[in-house]
Amino acid sequence: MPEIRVVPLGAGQDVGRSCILLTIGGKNIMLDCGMHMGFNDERRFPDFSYVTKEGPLTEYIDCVIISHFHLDHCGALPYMSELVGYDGPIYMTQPTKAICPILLEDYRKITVEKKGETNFFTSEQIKLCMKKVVTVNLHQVVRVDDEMEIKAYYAGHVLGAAMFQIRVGQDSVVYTGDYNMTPDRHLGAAWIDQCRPDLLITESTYATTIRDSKRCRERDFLKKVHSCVEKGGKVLIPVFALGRAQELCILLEMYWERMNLKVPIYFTLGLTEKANHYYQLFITWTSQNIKKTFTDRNMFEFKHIKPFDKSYADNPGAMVVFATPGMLHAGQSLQIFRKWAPSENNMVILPGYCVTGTIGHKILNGAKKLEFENKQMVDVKLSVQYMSFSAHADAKGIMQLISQCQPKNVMLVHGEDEKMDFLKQKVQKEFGIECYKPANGETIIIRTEHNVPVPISRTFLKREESSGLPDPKRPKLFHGVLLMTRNNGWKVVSPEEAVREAGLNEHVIRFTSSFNIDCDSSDGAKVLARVQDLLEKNLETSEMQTSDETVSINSVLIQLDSSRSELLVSWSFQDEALGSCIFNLLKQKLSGERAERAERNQRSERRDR
Amino acid sequence: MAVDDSDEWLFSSMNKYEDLYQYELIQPTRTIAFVTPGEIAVGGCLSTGFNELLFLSAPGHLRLTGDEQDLCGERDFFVIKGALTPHGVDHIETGGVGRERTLFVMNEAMADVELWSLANEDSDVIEKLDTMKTGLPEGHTCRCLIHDKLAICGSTGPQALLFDVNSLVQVGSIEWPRPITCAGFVALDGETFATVCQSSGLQIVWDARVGTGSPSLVLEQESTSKGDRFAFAVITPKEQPKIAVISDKGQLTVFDIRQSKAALECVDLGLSEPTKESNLCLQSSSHKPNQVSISGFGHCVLVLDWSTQQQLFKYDGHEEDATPLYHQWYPWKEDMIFSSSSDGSLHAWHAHF
Repeated sequence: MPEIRVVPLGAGQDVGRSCILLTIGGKNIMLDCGMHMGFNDERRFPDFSYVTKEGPLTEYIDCVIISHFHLDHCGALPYMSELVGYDGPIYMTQPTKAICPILLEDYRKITVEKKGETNFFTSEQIKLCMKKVVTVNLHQVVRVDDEMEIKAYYAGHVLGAAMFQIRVGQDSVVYTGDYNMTPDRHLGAAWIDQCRPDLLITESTYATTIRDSKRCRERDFLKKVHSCVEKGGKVLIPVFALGRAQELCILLEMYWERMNLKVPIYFTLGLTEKANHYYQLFITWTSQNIKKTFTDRNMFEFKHIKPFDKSYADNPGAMVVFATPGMLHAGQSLQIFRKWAPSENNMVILPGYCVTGTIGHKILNGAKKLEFENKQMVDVKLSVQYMSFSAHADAKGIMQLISQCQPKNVMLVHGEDEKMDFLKQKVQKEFGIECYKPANGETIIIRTEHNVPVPISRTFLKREESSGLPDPKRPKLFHGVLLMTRNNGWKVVSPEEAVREAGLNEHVIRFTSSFNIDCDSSDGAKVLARVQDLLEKNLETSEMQTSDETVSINSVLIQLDSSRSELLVSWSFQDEALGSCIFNLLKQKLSGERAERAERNQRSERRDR
Repeated sequence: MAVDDSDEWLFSSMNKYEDLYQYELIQPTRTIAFVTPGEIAVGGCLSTGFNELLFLSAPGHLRLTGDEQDLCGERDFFVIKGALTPHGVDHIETGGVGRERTLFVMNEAMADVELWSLANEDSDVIEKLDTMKTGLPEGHTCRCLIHDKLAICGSTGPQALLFDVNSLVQVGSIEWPRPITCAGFVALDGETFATVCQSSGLQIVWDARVGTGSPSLVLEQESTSKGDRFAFAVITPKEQPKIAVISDKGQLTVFDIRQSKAALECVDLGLSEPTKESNLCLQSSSHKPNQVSISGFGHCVLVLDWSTQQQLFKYDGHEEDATPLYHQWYPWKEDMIFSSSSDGSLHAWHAHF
């Protein structure tokens, strides 16, 4: 029985280190290869020993697919391909290929140069890994080999993020990665066609959440920024160079323009130009609004947001600064934070998740004093705000996606280990399909059904069609022969055609049944007329033929044997259903009438006596 | 940079609302039950298909204040538990001694009350426990109040019935002076309760001591407001309780229960007549006894000072073409109101700017 197997190596009842092994039609695919930002040891990488205990993975994995550039989806890729070993193709979109190495290099620098780790991939290994990448365009069918093909769909979430359909023969799986069903200012909403995969593997980050609207979050953010700068305070917004930063920049730019504010907004150099460059390069991946206005004005060239120089941090007066990196764990954002933290007039807004151990995480847990190198203490008196702008589908969005693509089964990944019996129940009730939520290392097996398409002879079809138009909602029984032809093709033909092709004598099987009927030799015509009347009333057919002694429909023949007071009904094997139906109908009606007459006669006799 | 309609909303809302949260439920809800501080229950009210019964954890932002709120960042509801029900949910009551983790669910046009359990720690599905067969007329929605060990149930007819919440057995009844359609029940204290007839505005206050014969009526007051539909709220139930009644003609009347037959205030608010589909809803603030809120007239929720007849605040955040269904003051944060509408929206907002 054909089946699909799925084993999460990461993101099984967990967020982080997304890596899912998929076996479909005999092919093995790795979906994402992320790292877990919460660990500093080997637990940050997926456990590749599930694939093989030792040696490279090349012969065990047919291809790797990366959904987007977030490190929890691609952070382990160079480690897997260069340190564990994999030489096969790695599929991703163009923007993902362009941006991945930048983030990987940035992360490598922090891990190796700042933290002093040794067993980590090098810059050269990142480059070698990226050489194995094959890019895919949206809605383009890419043949991985003779049997497997993949297709990318727009996922929203971040620039270049895609959902992937993987098809091998008749089996198909859709893997969503991270996606967003509501559009952003700079990205559109995820979309997929009614591709009816055997399995939909969907992220479930916010599956048990009912999210506050995006516009209320934006409103809250703008109010806080404005109230701080209005009082002369400075606002620090630590961000990663790509992702939510662009969203917030567009938002602030629009607000500053409308409110005619003169307070300067800065974005730290380094990754800024590259980020804006990529958004302009991949403009087709952005939202409708951005694409629409691009010819008049490039929304990533900001009027109110200027490049930052580190000397500006000491300038008096209000300002807003976007600085990298996002968790205040190093770099410019941390330097600025140390200068501004002691002032109550200032504010830091953290717009995303902060890993344990980072300054961002500490201040979000209420730390009021921080110790840095050389036992330098910094007072945290500025206002600390956490605002989540991450773009994931919530419960309603997940149900929308299921409704769009109409899978036969659903699997939930990339969600915390929360109970999801209710969501599973909803999916089952709403769509009548199974829903799974495996843990890391747990194998889920999905049985699939295959339909074999077979050509059918036109003569045969026309003959079957002539017996009445089929009801598209009900199955229709055909009697035919599956014929394997000399050139190894096959088709369905009528029995007569098959017999002719095979050069055989045709044998016909007929069934005959009879029942007693109350009549004498002069009643023959009356009985047949009664038979005809019953058939006309009870069967939807216009194909009845009558003669003096018989009534026939298709191969069903009804004949009266007056000498034995029997009605014979005979039919061929092909008309088994029709023949049985007619026989039972006539027996019920005519025998019943006979029994009634006999009873009436008996009653009459009793009365006479 | 061009400002589009959604951005226009941003700017106009900043000049209207302090705190604002807007959520979309899969089905609209006609009830918002506050279970414990930070936990609420809602239920879909569609008449076809399956409705979701949801037990939600309120976002940190709505539970916390000050620094804690700023650090929290959490603005989303978390679905603690849920269930699918084939009925449209009309109202949810909670509590009751021995039934602390139970939801009492009243469904549209059904006389019985369903009991759903929140107790199972191993699953996030709300399980149906039992059904309290009230014996009230079929085809009418049951109104029920849970107080201590008692469930008071009424709909249309000459009486309300009293049940023990644990055994679900009837323990008494209250005979009305004439048949009424209950607009709900409110407890004034441990022994005194109030109701209003939804169609005539008749106000009734009674003393319900179980097992001592027919509960005695304390007050029976005809409505001085004109109208065909009425909603009511009780103001300061424990101290100097008053009943506020609003009619579909927009007339608000406030009675002091201790001084019957003397309306404290009766005022025509000049509101446009509600549609037949609108739910007339009147609530009182537990933090500010002079404030009441009204919905059902248009798509807005109005907050008034009933003593001065001054309109204090108007919330118009729900879509104009949606029908307002319900609203309720959030007991654990001053001036916070939750409101729902027929397009599935559930909003939380500050009733002051």
